[in-house]
Amino acid sequence: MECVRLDGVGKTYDNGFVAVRDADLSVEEGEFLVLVGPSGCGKSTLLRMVAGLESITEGTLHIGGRLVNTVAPKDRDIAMVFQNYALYPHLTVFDNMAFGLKLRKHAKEDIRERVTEAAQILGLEDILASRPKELSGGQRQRVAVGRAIVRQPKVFLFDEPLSNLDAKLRVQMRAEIRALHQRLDATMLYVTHDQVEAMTMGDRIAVMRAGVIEQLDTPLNLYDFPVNRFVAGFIGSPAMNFFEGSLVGSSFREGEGGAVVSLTEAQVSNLAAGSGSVVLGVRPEDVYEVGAGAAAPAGAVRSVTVAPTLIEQMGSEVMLHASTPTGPMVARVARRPVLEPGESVDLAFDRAKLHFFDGVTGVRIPTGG
Amino acid sequence: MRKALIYLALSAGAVVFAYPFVWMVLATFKPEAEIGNLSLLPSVWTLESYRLVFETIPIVRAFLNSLVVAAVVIASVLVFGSATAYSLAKLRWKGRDTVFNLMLFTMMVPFMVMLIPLYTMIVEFGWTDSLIGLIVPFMMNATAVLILRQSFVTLPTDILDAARIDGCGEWRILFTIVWPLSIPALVTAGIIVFIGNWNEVLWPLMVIRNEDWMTMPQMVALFTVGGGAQARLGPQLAAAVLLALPIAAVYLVFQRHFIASLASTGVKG
Ligand SMILES: Nc1ncnc2c1ncn2[C@@H]1O[C@H](COP(=O)(O)OP(=O)(O)OP(=O)(O)O)[C@@H](O)[C@H]1O
Ligand SMILES: [Mg+2]
Repeated sequence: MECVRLDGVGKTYDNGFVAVRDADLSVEEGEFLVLVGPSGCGKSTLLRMVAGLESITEGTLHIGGRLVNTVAPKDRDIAMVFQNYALYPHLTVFDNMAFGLKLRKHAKEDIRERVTEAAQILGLEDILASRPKELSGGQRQRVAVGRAIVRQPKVFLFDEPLSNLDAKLRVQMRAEIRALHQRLDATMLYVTHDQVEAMTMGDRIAVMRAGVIEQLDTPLNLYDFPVNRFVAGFIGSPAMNFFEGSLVGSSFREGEGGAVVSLTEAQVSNLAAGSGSVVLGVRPEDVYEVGAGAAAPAGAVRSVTVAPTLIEQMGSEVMLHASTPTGPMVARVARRPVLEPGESVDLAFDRAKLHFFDGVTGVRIPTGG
Repeated sequence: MRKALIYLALSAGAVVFAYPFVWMVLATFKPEAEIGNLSLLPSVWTLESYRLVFETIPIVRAFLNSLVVAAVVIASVLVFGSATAYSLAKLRWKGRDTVFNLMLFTMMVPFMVMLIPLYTMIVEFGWTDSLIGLIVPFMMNATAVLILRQSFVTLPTDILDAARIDGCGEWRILFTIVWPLSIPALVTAGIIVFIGNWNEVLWPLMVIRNEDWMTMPQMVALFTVGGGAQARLGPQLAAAVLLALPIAAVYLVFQRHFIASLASTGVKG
């Protein structure tokens, strides 16, 4: 069942700035949906409209089947976790979690029970009497999560809850929030600008750019079938390599000294129907070193010769950074003895894993696998 | 050596400032005839001056009047002033900045300018010779609003949003979240309003003729300047000391807040 549904939702701020445009989105009951996009793309605005903290200037919002466009935040049956925790500094951890329940006139006994249970789940039993400023960042974030779960809301909203934590804690909290999602069987809408967080946490991911939802899909579909060059470049780390060029005969040609990739018949016929200029995309892990011994897949064809400018030894593999006529590229290739600086290498692209985008619009050109 | 000199200079300064005040307090315990000389300590301690004050004028009644006026004014300024400050600091509405600038402008306008229009209004409303006439014109205070607003803008907006989601309306946010987090600003605003209000003489002189509703500074002024003391220095000084007592008490209790806030806000009443 749909839990949250946005139809054509838009936001124009008072100063005329359009922060969100025509957003269609539905979050299924029990789903973990991640909103991801670069800074300033309107993720927070969208989330805050769902929360009721920001007015909706266009479209409709339903929560649990009820139209809530003009309903106050407290009556939307939602809870939100903020980036800066937003704990009440003058209240103890217990009272921070109990605050919403008290306002809703829950019985004392019920409040105590719920807070205690949440504290157990989150490992906060020992600090219930502390004040926020006595806690570490990780503890504060747990309290903020606790404050949300005691309310047992229909939807949890998260706005970059982990970005103030250090890297190690972030990975740990990521797993904890996922586990919590499973345990509570809750519906969660989660905002982040970190695509790794999005990929590892989301059941589905909505990628936003400049106020527009570019693509809404499962992590793997986003990775394998990005609808445009922006999504392709945003999802995945290191990012996808792009080569700007065109179809010449049965090959993609980047230009003088650049990549030349001979394509399959299906790819050629699909590209031939296009406007002419083409962007070829290939992920770093779909690049192989020619003649390096490590097994390359059958589809790998010799495509480009580069002189790496930076060689990163990762132990299990090697990152080769180089530049081609239309931009930088990164190849993640099998481990090998260190290269001499200036020595050039031949690289092969896996033909089965190529992505093509229209050179003008950036839209994906489907090539039938 | 240098340090010693600095201390010496500061001590001298302190004596210069404190001497008149100490002299005045001690003089109230002297017999009338002794007041003229410059000795600090009375040869005989007497409460005669105070007895005369209490006998000649209803100063207790005036004290209570002042107290009621100050209490209501402070409560009103803190409640309505903080609501205004909250709205100016944390709510988004059209014309907010214009309103804020207008408010700053009213702070520059001397009270004298408003005296006549205000007086006319109070007469029209029939509020002369009543405490209402002393209270209503001061129920809002731009300086207090400014102090509170400057403090409220520093509160993280996310906390207020969290409270909205938790179930607070704006008034409840003000009293359960904003107030507990802004105590120094509330104390400062309260003190500034109190001192200003307690020392106000001009306005009561205009709207109050009936001795029953006179405020303490008004009564003391009339007593000392207006001839009630029959040119005796002792009772005049005693009345002045009584008038200063509440201010001194407030200052002692909130000393720390007061100095800190004067230093930090740079705003004076
Ligand atoms: N009150 C406002 N008035 C006008 N413009 C605003 C307002 N709030 C946000 N914006 C603008 O709207 C755009 C989207 O802001 P938003 O906070 O939703 O971005 P975001 O995707 O959450 O970015 P970040 O990752 O930095 O948090 C930004 O360009 C921002 O400058
Ligand atoms: Mg944001």
